[in-house]
Amino acid sequence: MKIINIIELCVSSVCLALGIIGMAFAKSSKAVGENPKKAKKRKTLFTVLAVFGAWFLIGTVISVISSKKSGINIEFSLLSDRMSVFGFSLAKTTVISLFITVIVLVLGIIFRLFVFPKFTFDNPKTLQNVFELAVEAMENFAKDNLCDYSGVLAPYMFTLGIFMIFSAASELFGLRAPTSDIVTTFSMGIITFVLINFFGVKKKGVGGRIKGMASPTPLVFPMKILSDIAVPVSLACRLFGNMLGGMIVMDLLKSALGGYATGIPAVAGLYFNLFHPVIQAYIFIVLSMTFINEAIE
Amino acid sequence: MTVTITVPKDLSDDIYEKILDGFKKKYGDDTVFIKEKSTKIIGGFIAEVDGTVYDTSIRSKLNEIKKAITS
Amino acid sequence: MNINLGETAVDLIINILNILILFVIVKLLVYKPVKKFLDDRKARINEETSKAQKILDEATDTLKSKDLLLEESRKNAEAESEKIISEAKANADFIVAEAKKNAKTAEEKANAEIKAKKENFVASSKDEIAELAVNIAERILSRETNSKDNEKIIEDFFDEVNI
Repeated sequence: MKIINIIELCVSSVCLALGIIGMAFAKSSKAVGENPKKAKKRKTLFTVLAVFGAWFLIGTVISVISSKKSGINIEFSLLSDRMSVFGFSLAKTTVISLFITVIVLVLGIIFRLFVFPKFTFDNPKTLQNVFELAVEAMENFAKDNLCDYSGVLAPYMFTLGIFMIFSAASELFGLRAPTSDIVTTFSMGIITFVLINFFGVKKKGVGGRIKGMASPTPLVFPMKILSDIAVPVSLACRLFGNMLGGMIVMDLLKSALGGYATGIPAVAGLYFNLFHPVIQAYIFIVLSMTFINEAIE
Repeated sequence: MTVTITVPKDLSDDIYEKILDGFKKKYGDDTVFIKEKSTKIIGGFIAEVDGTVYDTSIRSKLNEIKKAITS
Repeated sequence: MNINLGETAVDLIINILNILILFVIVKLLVYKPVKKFLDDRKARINEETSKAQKILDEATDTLKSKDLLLEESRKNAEAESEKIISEAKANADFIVAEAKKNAKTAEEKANAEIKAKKENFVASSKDEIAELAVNIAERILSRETNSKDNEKIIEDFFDEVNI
């Protein structure tokens, strides 16, 4: 153990001790009858000191024990690693996607059998409320943006949302999220592309769709085709890039902190692994609906 | 012919004679005269001849007047 | 980084299938039941609302008919009272007219009586005065008549008779 480690240990322990004692004192000083704002400030100060001391201590201990080097040293690959399943070589992310499906299936069966029949008309409980809110929001959304085929498409968009949220959650477990794999996002984009054309043809007929592309002038025909192809590609790349970026930032943070990576990555993960993916999911869904709407109009 | 003549009480005989003369001229000289006196006649005489009555008394005239006024 | 296109394609297809399967699962197990539940609740709310609306309408109708009845009876009462008042007024007028008439008759009768009494009085007075005058004349004449007057009377009488 190096000297600096010992010094760090002592400093952190002292900070922690001071913090805890100060917190205890702060609680009692409230009874003296001081100015409440000042007492609150003091209390916060001591709480911060205690937290900092705890973090520092834990970090020092871990870094000493596991001798992790703190420094920026990460590696990632564009396509995820592969593993072999039943003789086939699949990407890890694909396996995780399949896993997600299995989990959703299990949860779905559980809900279907136990939770849903217990729904009450009046005074819904929290879980029931969550489901109602989600489905209702999706329905209204679909009605606003799609108008015609909201019956079939609303569930699909809902599915996409569930998939993306679960894949973001898997990031929390240290796995590589499926949505940060270009293959996965591209498959989602392809499905959207198929949907756009399918509904466009259904509504207008094949001739109508081609005619739509040829207006206002036949000159824009090749450009329209190009933009049509660009749609799913852009969707896929957008999602992929955002998710991958988030993953990289998290990795950077973890490797930079090394042994001290307690607590801070979790807080950052709140944003990068929960909030950010949700926004991206929302954008993906909205754009898909907009494009389909455009094809229907 | 009988004539009954009623005269005021204080009538003078000359005047009575005049009355008799007058009647005699009318009825003849052989008329019989009966003389009666009354205090109520005041003036003139009342002569009754055979059912016919000649009344020249003032009192009768007064009665007539009274009757005429009060009717 | 090496890209094996064959494996990537297999991955792609598997992912697409995976999403489709996921879609079916979510739609059947989660989306449909919750949606059905929401629709049921909406239907029930509509039913309750329409029921409440119906009851409200009925109540409004009843209220309206009650108001009408009230209005009618009020009008009737007004008409009745008006009739009574006018009748009473007619009665009063009649009584007053009658009283006036009676008063007039009484006045006329009194006047007539007074007039009759006056005339009576005048007449009787006239008689009395006449009698008094004649009596006085009689007394005066009975005192003042002399033989010359008697002579004249007799002469006048016989002149008249003997014509």
